[in-house]
Amino acid sequence: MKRKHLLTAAVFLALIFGLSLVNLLTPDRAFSEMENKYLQQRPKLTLERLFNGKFTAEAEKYVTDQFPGRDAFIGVKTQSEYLLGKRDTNGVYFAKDGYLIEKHPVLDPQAEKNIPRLTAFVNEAAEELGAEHVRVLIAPTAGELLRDKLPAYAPEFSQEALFEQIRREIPQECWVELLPAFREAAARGDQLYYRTDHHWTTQGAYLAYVQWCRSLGLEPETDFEVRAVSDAFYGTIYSKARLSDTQPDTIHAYFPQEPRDYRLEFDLGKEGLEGLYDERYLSKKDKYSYFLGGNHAVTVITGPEKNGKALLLVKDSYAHSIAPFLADEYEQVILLDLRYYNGSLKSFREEHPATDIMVLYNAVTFCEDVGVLKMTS
Amino acid sequence: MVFSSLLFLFLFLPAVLLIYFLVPKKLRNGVLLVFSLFFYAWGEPMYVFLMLFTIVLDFFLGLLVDRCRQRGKEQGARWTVIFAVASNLGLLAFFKYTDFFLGNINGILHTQLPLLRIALPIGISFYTFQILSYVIDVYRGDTRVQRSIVSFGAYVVLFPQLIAGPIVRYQTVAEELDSRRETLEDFSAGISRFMCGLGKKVLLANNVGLLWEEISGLGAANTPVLTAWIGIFAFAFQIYFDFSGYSDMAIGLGRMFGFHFLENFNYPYQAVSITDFWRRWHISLSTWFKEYVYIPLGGNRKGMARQICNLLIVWLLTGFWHGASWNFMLWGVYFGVLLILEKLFLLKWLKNAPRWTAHLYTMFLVLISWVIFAFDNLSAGLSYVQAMFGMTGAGLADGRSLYLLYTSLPMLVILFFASMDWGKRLLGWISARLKPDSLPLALAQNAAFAGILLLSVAYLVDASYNPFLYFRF
Repeated sequence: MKRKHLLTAAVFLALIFGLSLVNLLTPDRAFSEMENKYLQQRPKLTLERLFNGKFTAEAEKYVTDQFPGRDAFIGVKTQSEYLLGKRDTNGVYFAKDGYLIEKHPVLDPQAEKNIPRLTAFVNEAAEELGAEHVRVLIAPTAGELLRDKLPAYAPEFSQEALFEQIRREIPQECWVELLPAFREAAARGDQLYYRTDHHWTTQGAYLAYVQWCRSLGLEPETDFEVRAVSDAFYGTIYSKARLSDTQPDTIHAYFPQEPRDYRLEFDLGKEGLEGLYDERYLSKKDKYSYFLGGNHAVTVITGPEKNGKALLLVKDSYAHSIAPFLADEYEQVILLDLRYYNGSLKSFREEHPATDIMVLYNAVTFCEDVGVLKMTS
Repeated sequence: MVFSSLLFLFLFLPAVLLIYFLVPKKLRNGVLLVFSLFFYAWGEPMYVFLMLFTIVLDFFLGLLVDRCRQRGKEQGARWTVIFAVASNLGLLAFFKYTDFFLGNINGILHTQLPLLRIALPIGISFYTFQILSYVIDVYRGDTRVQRSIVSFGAYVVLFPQLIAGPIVRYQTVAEELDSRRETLEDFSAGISRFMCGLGKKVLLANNVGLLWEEISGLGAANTPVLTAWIGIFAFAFQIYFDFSGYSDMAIGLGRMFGFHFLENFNYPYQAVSITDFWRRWHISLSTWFKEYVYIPLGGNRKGMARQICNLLIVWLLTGFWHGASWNFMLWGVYFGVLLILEKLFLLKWLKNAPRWTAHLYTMFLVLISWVIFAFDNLSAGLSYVQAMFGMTGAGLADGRSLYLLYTSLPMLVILFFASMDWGKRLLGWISARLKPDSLPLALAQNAAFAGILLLSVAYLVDASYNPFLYFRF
C-alpha cells in the first residue's frame, strides 16, 4: 500500500515542482510570433497597483503568458477538442479541405450601430463629391463564401442580408457588388481566402479590384507577373486553433510588368518605405503585413502618376492587398484605419482633401469594430 | 485566487506545501493562516482587513461565551452569542444584500436612493456560516472553545474551502485543528481527490459551460425546443461539475494537510426524489440550515403546520443565501414547496412507482429549477421555460440545434457517465480483484492524474473561458 501512495505523491510533486521550476528558469518572451501579440511581462509591485487590482491581474496573465511550452499546450487543447468531436474551438470552425474558418454564428449587435454611421457617411460624401466618386466595398468573408466547407449545419450569420441592408440605404452606384462574382469564382475553384488566416488572398483582392473597376467603367489591369512570395504562411486563425495537420498557406503578389515607383509613408511622416511591400515580414510569423507593412492608423501611398486624383480609403486590413491595384489610378491613396486612428474623420478630411472616397471592410470587422462609429465624428 | 489557475497550481501550491512540511508542527497552523490570508487578499486586498477584524472579533466573542458559561452566567452567554450572530449576519447583509433592498425600495417607492455598488467580499457567505457554527457550538457546549487565535484564524480563512465551500462546521475539524497527523496515505488520497476536482472544473465544467453560454445568449425567441433542452442540460452539468469539482479540490487539499472535511456532493443526479436530491447536493449547506435554523425553530416536533412553516422559512433563506436576487428566493421557495409536497404525500407515491419514473420526475424538476437559478431576470427565465416547451414559435429544432447536438454529443455522454457513480463502482470492482498493492493499477491511476493535470494546463494556458460561478454566493 505504502509504495502506491509514495508513487502518487512523487508523480504529483514532480509535476508541480518540476513545471514551476522550468517556469522560473525559462527566460521571459516579449512577443509571441505564433499568436502575434505582446506577452505580459513581470508586473511591477507598488502599493497602489496592489490595491487597485492591477498587480494581481497582471501577475495571473504573466504566469499564463510565459508558461513554458505555451504554444505546444495550446495545440494540445485544439487537438483534444477535435478528438472529442467538437467542430469549433476558440471561435474557429474546423472546416473541410484544411480550412480553418472564423465562427460568427449571429450578427454582432454592434452592426446595428455601425450600419447607420456608414450609410450617413456615404450619403454625405456622395453629396459632396458626387456619387461617382464614392465607392463602398464590404467584402464577404470565408464564413459566407465557403459555407459548403463548414461543418454540417454550422450556424453562420447571413452576410448577404447585411449587404442588402446597407445597399438599400446608399446611392445605388456607390455599392460595389462582390458576392455574385465571388461565388462564381469560388465555384470555379479559385482560392479567394487563406486556409489559416482571416484575410482574402491576393486573388480574392484582385477579383474585388476587377468589380470595382467595372463599377467605375475602368479597364482592369490584367498583365501581371504573379509570384509566390511565401509558402510558409500560418495566419491568425491558426494561432487560435492549432490543428496539427494544418498545411501552411502560400502568399502571392501581383507585380506589374513594368515596375513603378511607389513610396509608403506611415502615420503622417513618422516612418516610410520604398515600394508597396515590406519583405522583412516574410521571415516573421505575421506574413500578411508584407502588404503595405501591416496595420497603421494612416498609410499614404504616393505613386508616379501625376493626375491630381487622391483617394481616401477608409478601411480595415483587407485593403492592404487590394491597395497595390488601386494605387495605379491615383496620385495618392490615403488609407485611414479607424481602428487605430483616434481623431475625428471630419478634420482628417479637411487636412487631407481627396477627390474620391472608398470604404472597404470585410463583413465581420465592419459589424464588430467600434471604430466604424468614428465615420460620423 | 482560484484553484483552477496556473498561478495557484505552479506558484502558490508548491510554495505552501514546501513551507508547510518544512516547519515544525506547532507552526503549521500559522503557515496555513498566513498563506490563506495571502490567498484571500489576492483578489481584493482591501478586504483582508475585514477578514482580520472578523477573526479577532469572533475569537474574543467565542472566549467570552465560554467564560460566561464557565461562570454560570447563562444570560451573558446568551447575549454574547446573539451579538455574535447579529454582527456576523449584519456584515453579510451589509455587503451582500444592501443594494438588493435599496433597489427594491427604489422600485416600489420610486425613490432615488443611491446604491452602494461595493464588491462582495469573496467567500463571505461561506466563512460567515463557518464562524456562526463555531460560536453557536461553543454556546451549546457542542465543542470546546479555541484558545489560540492563530488556529481559530486558520479555521476561518483556511484557503481550501474559503471561497466556494464546503461549509466546514467547527466541530468537524476542532480536534484536527489542534492536533492532526499528516500521513502519506492522506497526502496521496488528497492528491487523487484534488486531481478529480481539477479535471471536473477545468476539463468538464468549463467546456460544457461554453455550450450553455452560447445557447443562453441566443435569446428565448430564437431558441427551438431541442436547443433549449441541450442548453439546460449543459447548465445542469456545468454547475454540478464546477461546484462539486471545487468541493473535491477543497476536500483533497484539506486532506493533504491532514484535515478530513465531510462530503459535499453524493451523485445528486442519481436522486429519486427532491428530498433525496437535497441529501446529495451541497450537503454542507443543507446540514448547516438544518442544525442552526430548522431544528432550533422546532423542526418537526411541533406539529405539521409548524413544520411546514419552518420548511418554508429554511428554504426561503437557502434560496436567498445563493444570491441577492428574487430568482434565488423563488428557487429556494420552489424547492421548499416541492419538499413539503413530498413530505405530505409524494414520497409515498414515489416509493411505489417504478424507479425510472422517480428519476425522471426528479431530474425534470431539477432542470426546471436550474432555469430559475440561471436567469436572475425572472421574465427571461420564464421565456426560457416557454422555449423548452415550444411556446415561443421557434419550432422544434433548427440547423443550429443539430450542429450543437452532434458536436456536443460525445461531451454530453461523457458528462452523463461522469455524473453517475458507475465509474467509481467499476474502479472498486477492479481493485477488489487485484492485489492491494497492484503496480499496474497504481501506474494507470497516476498516468491518469498526470494526464488530467497536463490537459488542464493546456486548457488553462489558453483560458478564454474560466468563470468563477460563486461570486454572488
